[in-house]
Amino acid sequence: MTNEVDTDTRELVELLKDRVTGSIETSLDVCAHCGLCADSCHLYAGTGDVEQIPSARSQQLEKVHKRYFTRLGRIAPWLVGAEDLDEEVLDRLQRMAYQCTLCRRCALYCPFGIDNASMVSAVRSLLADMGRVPEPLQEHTDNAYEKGNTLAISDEQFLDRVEWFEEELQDAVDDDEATIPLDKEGARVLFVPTPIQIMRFPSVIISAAKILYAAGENWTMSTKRFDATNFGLFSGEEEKRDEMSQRLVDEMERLGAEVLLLSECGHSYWSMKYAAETWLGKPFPFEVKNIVEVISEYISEGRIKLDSSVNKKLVTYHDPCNLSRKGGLLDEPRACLEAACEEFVEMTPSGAEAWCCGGGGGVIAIPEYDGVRLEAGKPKADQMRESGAEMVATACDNCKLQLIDLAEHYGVDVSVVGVTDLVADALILDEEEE
Amino acid sequence: MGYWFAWFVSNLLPLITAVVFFGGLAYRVVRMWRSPRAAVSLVVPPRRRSLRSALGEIVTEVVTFRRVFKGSRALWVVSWLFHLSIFVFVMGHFRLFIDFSWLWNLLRLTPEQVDTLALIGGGASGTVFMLGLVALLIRRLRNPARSLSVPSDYLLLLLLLGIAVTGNYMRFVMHIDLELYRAFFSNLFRLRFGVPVQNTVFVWHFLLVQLFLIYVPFSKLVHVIGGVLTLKWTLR
Repeated sequence: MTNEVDTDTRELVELLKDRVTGSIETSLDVCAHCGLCADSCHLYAGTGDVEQIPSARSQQLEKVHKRYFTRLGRIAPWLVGAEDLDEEVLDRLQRMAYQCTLCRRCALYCPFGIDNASMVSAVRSLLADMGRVPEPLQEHTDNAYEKGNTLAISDEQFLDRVEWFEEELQDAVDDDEATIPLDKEGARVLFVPTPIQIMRFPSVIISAAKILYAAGENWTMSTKRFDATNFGLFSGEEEKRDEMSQRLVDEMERLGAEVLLLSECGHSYWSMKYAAETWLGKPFPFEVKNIVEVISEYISEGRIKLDSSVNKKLVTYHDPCNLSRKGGLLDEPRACLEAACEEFVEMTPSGAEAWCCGGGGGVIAIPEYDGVRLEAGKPKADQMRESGAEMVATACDNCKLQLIDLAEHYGVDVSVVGVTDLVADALILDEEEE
Repeated sequence: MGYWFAWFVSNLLPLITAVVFFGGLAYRVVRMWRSPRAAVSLVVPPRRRSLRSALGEIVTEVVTFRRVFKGSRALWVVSWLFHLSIFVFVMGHFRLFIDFSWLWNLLRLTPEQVDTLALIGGGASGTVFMLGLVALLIRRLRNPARSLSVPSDYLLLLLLLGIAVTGNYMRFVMHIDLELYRAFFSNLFRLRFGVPVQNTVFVWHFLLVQLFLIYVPFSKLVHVIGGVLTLKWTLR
């Protein structure tokens, strides 16, 4: 049977072989097709499409793998549902892999704890090997790889923006000496924002600067590396993924900083904190922290003081999957909001089991998937509405973009805001006599 | 049913079954045991856990099916009782091989009381097992599980249903003389070919059980072993 396979397919099959090994193979074997993961996935809950069940994604990989690499799959493909790796299947795999946000909520609901995101990542890498990354995502990734950041912001543009950020900072803290330090060697903290914050959500950077200023932090930004994101992780191109994390490591080394402080962004935190050391095969001589983590430290150490009466609106928190479920930052953002806002309410479920907003994993960069992305956000939109909150705070660009879209699409009357912004607004700056 | 068919099922097939079942299972266990964990940690949410607490959580999961409970109460009731019934009747079947007279003495049970206990335990577990299979089959025929099912998933349920029906028939309709079966199995375990038991239903029951056991190492039932491993990956 395998003799019938043509040369093109044979190459694909070889690639497939390398992708389905070890824990991936075991996980595929263990999945009992029970379907309990279905209701845990925002994509299935939102669309009702059986192609969007976490196990369906893994099974699609299992089906083609079985066809070529198991005895039963070769002898009796119909019995075990083995399928040829043809164009149709490749298209389906592409949809399945790049619409999934890699949020790993299903892993908490699987009786065997199977991590379907691992399988999806393997499929992404397989598709990347074949040059089948969705085009817009590929474009962002190539920009980041070749030009240093996903939006291809030039150095001049960046410096121009920072100049403006600095003016805003000076206004906000009423101090003409306040600066946004650039390339400062020996700074304790290197703060790295995201291109989208530089262009679309500048308040995040200004707010962070304000807080770092108020805390008297010895910090800096880099003129060389101002993109914390890692689109290589999204596209599945492992080489680019590794290179992107290596760049941040190199910059930490160049400036001699002790803490890599990542801005409001989910996947960059997960990448650098939990994965990059493994990808690059070496332990980092510095700490990786997210901005909400550092702010909560400042609060508990008394390095900044907040006046919660500034933020009177009822606030809820959307857990970015990469910070909460995958990142373990559950209490920190809540501590920030409790200190910065008068009233805080939780969505249910929240924390590690929070619904994914549907905007992560790179899907937001692919306009072709907009329809599915909005449908998939329904559980989150419902949660926001049911919470009764007037404001949804979060700490991730992708989440923010998605939540803004969801509020509009589903007519939920909430504003979307960053945790950092709320804290910055509540800062008490006039206690110098203390 | 021919005599030689019964003879084959009762004497020769068990040898094949034993080799395939134990050999296949050993192969799967070794393969899974050697399966390296993912390079990047799969622990969700990431936190430090002692080995003891991770094991404690795995045991809790295996005994209570907590994650199934979290996902669907209805499925939890069915699947928990279903798996419990398997545990009960598998235990019960050991009476076919030996008489646990020391245990009955210890518990001060008369043979009649033991039989009543067996009737209750065996009858209840057999019934729950059969109804559970029907419920799982119906669930599999409806979406979303339907979309995830492949023929082998149905085949497995049907095979088990055949085992349940023949088993329950013997439990509820026929009178079974235990001594006869103990003699038969004692022969079999000593690898002596002997005369098959004169009971068509038993022969079919035994055949289906063996087909099931032969299929186990190649089937989704390896979730029983591998599931513990994948669960551990997400805990520690």
